[in-house]
Amino acid sequence: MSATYAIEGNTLFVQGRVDAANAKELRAALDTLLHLGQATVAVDLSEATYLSSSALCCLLTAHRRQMADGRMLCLCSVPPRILRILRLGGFHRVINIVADRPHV
Amino acid sequence: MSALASVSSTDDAVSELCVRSQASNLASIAEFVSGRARQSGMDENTVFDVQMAVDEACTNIIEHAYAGRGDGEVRICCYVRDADFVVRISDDGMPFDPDAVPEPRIGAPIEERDIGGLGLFFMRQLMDRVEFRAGDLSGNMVEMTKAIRGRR
Repeated sequence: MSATYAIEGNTLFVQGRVDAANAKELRAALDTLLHLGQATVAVDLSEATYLSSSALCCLLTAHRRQMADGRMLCLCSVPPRILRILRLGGFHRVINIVADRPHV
Repeated sequence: MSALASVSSTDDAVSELCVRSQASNLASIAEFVSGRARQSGMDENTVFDVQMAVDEACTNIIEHAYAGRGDGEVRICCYVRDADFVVRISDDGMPFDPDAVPEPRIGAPIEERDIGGLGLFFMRQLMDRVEFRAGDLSGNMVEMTKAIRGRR
């Protein structure tokens, strides 16, 4: 049980479980996504089954880097259980969460 | 799972998993706890919450109590007490003072370390009760409980 990553256009698709054991792979995938230099990038979580606080920290760091460059990162297609965790941690007040993948 | 990993049931009610303090064991721990929580009659959302609280607790043990040392033991014990699902996690690492951990500041604009303590925050949010006991010289024990709703 681990996670897989794929980048298509401006979107990173995360599939599976991200915990402290494999969060650095998520960080690397986000680095690749941010290096594309797009004004808006998205992280599609529709196939993500679990994100631990380590994974949430990676997302928050990537969001802050995008903001610092005057760019945007958003999370899309977030499964209800993960959305509830994001809300519980207050992430919804900081990171953009949208229902569908934004068009470029 | 490492060679140390063992699952034992002393009776019908108590099951224990013992693994090495390695992050690669977190997925096995999640599977073990989810299975036991599900057996207790919890709905899937509650199983998810318990699994996350345990994942965060074990991550803290691996990263902080054992400071990344992979040869320690993490023991996870689950049982049902009245209408509650109880998880007790113990280690032989450095004593940990939960009160010394600052509250996470998600909205803080600076560095990643501002969001330290997030694991502990989630444990307290997701479970009904979280109680720590540090050993005198080494080791910690945390007991967490969650009401089993919808139990017949």
